[in-house]
Amino acid sequence: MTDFHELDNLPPGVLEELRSLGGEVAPPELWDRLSLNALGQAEAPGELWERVRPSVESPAPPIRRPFAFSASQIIASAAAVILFVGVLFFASERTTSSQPLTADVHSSDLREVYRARVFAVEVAPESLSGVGRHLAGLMGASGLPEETG
Amino acid sequence: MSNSENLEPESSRGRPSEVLALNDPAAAIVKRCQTTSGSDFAEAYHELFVLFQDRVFTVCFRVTGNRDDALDASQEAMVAILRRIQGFEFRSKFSSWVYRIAVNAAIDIRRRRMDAPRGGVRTLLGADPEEDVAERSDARYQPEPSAELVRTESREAVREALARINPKFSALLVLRYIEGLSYEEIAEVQECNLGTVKSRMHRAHSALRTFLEGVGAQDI
Repeated sequence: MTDFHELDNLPPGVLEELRSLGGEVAPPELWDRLSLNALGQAEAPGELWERVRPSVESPAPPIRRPFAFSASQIIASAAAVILFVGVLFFASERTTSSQPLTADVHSSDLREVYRARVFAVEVAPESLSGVGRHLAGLMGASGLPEETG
Repeated sequence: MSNSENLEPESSRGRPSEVLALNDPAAAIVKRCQTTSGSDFAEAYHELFVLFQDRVFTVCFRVTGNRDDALDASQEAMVAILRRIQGFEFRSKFSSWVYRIAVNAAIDIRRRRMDAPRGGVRTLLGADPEEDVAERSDARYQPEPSAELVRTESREAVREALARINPKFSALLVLRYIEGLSYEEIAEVQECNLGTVKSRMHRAHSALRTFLEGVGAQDI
């Protein structure tokens, strides 16, 4: 190797000070920045990473959520509910339509309405039969024609 | 021209790359970086990073003059090494290649910061290191020492000088006197011949002396 020391003609004090400026230590932040920006991964500080490493690296058992259902289960359940509601609807319809009079009689309001309608019916005396006229007479009807023959 | 253009794989100097690879202490790790991928690559690259991080940071710190810029420059240099290591062909020592990238990254940062220099002091002694500062008039290029710059502590004066003179001169002085490279190794880093290194070093010495005289520290 060629000796070029004769070129280093700076004052000895300057050379000494220059040589003393070496030995800098790169800060740990340099690797953090490099791994984050260039390697695409960020590492936690050493102490923190050591604390969470076991839980991160050990395979955890699959977690079963209490209300986790599959799509087929949801569809089947919905169909069953719809069918049940439909059956209830038709059953109640059939029960109601098969006993309409009984249902109405049990209502006191309706009973009064029907009674009023009955007493409000006017019939011509001539349209009644003999038995009818006799019953109407017993109930106090007036103006009934006399039976002939 | 950006210094990033100088980061291509090193030019051939006519020496067998196999021989250089055998003599290069970093060769094994570099080859691991070149032949692996994924986590194996990350592990190999981390070993390389550990091997060179302090040298890269020191160069960047002394050329830029402050830790924040040195951190930015070191990061850029390490990213450049990461991305270009596949193309390294052992035509020079790997450390020379790393130094070249670090120096270029630090000079780039210095130039970017020149638009907003700290303390308002412009880089002294001209922007073009190829100009012969010895021919310049002392009146024009005499540093204007502020109260901040006028320090009696010699080490501080030298540190300031490295941060203020032309960054290419700073890089030369750092490589030679702080990193302890030989002139041949500096020629390899800068991809030039020994005569060019000698000429540039002469100008770097002149720039350093002129700065130290300007701040009253010429008697170190």
